[in-house]
Amino acid sequence: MGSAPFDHTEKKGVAKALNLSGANVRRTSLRRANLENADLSYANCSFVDFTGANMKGTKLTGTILHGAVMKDVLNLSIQQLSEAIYDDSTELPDYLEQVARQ
Amino acid sequence: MTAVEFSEIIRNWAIVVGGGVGVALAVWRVVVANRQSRATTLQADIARRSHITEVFTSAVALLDDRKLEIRLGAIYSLQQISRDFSQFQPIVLDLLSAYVRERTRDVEFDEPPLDIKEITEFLRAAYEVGENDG
Repeated sequence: MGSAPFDHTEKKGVAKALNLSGANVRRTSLRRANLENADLSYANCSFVDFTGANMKGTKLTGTILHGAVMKDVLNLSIQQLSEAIYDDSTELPDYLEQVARQ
Repeated sequence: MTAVEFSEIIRNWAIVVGGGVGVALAVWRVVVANRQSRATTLQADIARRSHITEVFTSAVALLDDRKLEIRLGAIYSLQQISRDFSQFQPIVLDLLSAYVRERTRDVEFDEPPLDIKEITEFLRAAYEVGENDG
């Protein structure tokens, strides 16, 4: 029963990782968002609130993170962060603060 | 065999045959009613899908409107479809993510426009970390 394009069989929930590559989402909120494997490459995420977000595997190549609130993000690695564009105004998690500022 | 005995045998056979026919008719009625019920359910489901498809298609077309309030209405419609019919959620999330990408690429602003703000809040809630995530 059913026909394209609505014949999806996914259960309730998110089927694919979020893709906001190249988007300008400055001053929005992604608080507590599950960004696992999400694509934020080349996105403008200035002043975005990432508090409590899961950033496991999130693509951050060229992502602008000026003023972004990342204090309490989960699963963010220094490798991911090193590909992003951040500065002193970026609130980094404690576990990355020292390494990232070197 | 007397005439009375013969008539009793005939009567008993008539009862057996009549009962059998009655049972067969009852079974047939149940089968027919079941088929009709399934057909009605199927028709209702097709009508529902057709209605959702119509609403969805209209909303998608309105996403390109130049008036913000029309676009916002379309966004609210899509959000509602996503909430009411969970099987459409992945499509709506894809669509609205693409909207944000295409509408904001190389666009400068200090505060996000209302439609972008509305969609990112919706995406944030849809992708919210569950208790067992992270």
